[in-house]
Amino acid sequence: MTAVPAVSRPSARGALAAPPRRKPTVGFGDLVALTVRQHRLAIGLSVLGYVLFGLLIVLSHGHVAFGHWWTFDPKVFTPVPAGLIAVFLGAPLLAGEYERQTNLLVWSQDVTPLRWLLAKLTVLGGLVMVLATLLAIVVNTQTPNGYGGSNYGAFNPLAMFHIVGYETWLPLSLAYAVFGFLLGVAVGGLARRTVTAMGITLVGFVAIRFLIANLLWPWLLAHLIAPIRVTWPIADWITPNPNSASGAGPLDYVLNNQLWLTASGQSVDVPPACYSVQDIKPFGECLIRNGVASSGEAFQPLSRLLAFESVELASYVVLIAICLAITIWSVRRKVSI
Amino acid sequence: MMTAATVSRSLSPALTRRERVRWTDLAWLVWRQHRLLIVVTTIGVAIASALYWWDATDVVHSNAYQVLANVIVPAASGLVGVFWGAPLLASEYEQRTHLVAWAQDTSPVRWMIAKFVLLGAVIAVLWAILGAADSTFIHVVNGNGPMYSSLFGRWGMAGFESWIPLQVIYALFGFALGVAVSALVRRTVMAIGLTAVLFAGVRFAVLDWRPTFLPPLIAVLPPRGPTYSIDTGPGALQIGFGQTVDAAGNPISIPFDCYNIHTSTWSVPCATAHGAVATYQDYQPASRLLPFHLIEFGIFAVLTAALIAFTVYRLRANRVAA
Repeated sequence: MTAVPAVSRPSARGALAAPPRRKPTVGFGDLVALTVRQHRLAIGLSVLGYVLFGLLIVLSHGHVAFGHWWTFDPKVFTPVPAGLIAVFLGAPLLAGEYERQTNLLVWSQDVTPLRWLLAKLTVLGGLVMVLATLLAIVVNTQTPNGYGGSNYGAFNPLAMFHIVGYETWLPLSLAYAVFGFLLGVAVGGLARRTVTAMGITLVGFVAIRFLIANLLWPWLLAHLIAPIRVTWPIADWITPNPNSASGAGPLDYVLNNQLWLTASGQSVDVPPACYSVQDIKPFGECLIRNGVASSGEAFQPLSRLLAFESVELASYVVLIAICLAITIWSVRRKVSI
Repeated sequence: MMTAATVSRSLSPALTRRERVRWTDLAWLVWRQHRLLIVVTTIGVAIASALYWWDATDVVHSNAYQVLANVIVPAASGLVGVFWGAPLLASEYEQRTHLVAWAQDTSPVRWMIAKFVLLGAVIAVLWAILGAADSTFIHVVNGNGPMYSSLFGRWGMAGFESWIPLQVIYALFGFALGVAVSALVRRTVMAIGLTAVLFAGVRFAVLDWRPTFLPPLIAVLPPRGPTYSIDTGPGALQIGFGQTVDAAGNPISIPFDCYNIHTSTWSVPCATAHGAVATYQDYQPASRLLPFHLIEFGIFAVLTAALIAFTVYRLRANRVAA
């Protein structure tokens, strides 16, 4: 209960600080400078992380040895930096202000909360866009843009990484990085606690990326445009496509490389009567006896890749818009605690 | 001031006076402070365990387990470090609540020990459940034939680590690491990032060291070229692809012509004709599985104890230093 000894502010300022400058307005440049200064450590670490990761991809030639027994292709980790941006740059942005209650100070200045937010998103969102673009360019120089990428064929327990092939399309890699950042910001604005926001963002980003890559994408490939179906008659022998020029090329996406079709063109499963037939010739004869007339394959040609990628891009654009709307709404509630 | 004090006094329950702060009091405090974390983590562990058991009923057709066993379970113990450990002290420092918390009758060290013991017990129980689900499932996979034995076999990453005590000690290590880092860094976001990096680094380093915890035995085999196939006894861990030597003991390589693609074997007469005498193959015998489990457990137990000691030392050294 003893009185706090009074520190004489005026004298300290008078002796040491420069006289206050007076400005008619707070320019956008001032806000940008403030943002850069507040986040200089995060900006520096983000740039450093992306540069190191890019160097690793370029210098490793798809093969990094970790210790004595483990090798991996660093390109499979291409989606990871966007997740780190979401968790470490996006989530604490608003949550930190709420948690320290600095929002009370910041949002009661001459500058409106929305303008303050615009400056933050411009500087940090711009940084994310530049870094994601550069990373996509680096990865694109190493990987052909295709459905699968180099990791698709080989057995890989982490099947989610097959997305690395088609998602190296620059607009797509840009979109999911920006989405990650804005998801973090929106979650921070709602959760208002840094650690909670970081946790929810981590789970949410991984879950949404996983659902889009493993549910939406296969659905698009099967249903958005009907796959091309090439068929050839079964004589009494199982043969590959006799006219290979009409079949799937090496960069096309094969949905089903072994269709069994009736005379009316309907796709059927292998008749149970033929399950136990071992050799190819009796197996073919068995199929014919059970009504299978032709064999075939279904695939999506590489020329349609852009269409599929565009729909996936649109899904991210919708998510970005939702996150942005949540963020603006949360900031406009202003100085409520 | 007086009126405010009187009002609040009259509304709150009567003061109870105690001789000392008991463990049950500390347990109540820990539960009140960390109940959200405990509940959310319990739900997460329950979901992962349920997915495992659900997957185990139809292992041939399921596919969720690959992500579960290879990604989610190894990452989960890191998440304990990141979300339980790292904010524990960092947020006290950051919000400056340590000035209140550590100026009470209970000393900072006792406060810290209570958190370690009580939260650690919760983690141990939850990760024993997760480990039980993990090992039950992997047992089912292996009972179904050698599917992906390099991953789920007894020496595979997921297979080896499914030993329940290992799962528990990984999580406790993550927790102790997070707390120690936060005692040093004192900023939540920084502590979280640093904990994640250090946890992954230590886990990978030990993973890399694991095949040579003890010096490998050397099997002398008929001469052959490099091969994946394990012929150093059932349940052994083959290390590397073997070294073929000539009569003088010098390493030589055998031309690929000696390899029969159809039978996936090397022709011994062909190798002998090229001067090869034997192939030395490093391996760990099956009988070393339990010692290796214990060694890995010991490594993480020692690290965990050291991190706890470091944290207590830091707290004692700094007390209520701002």
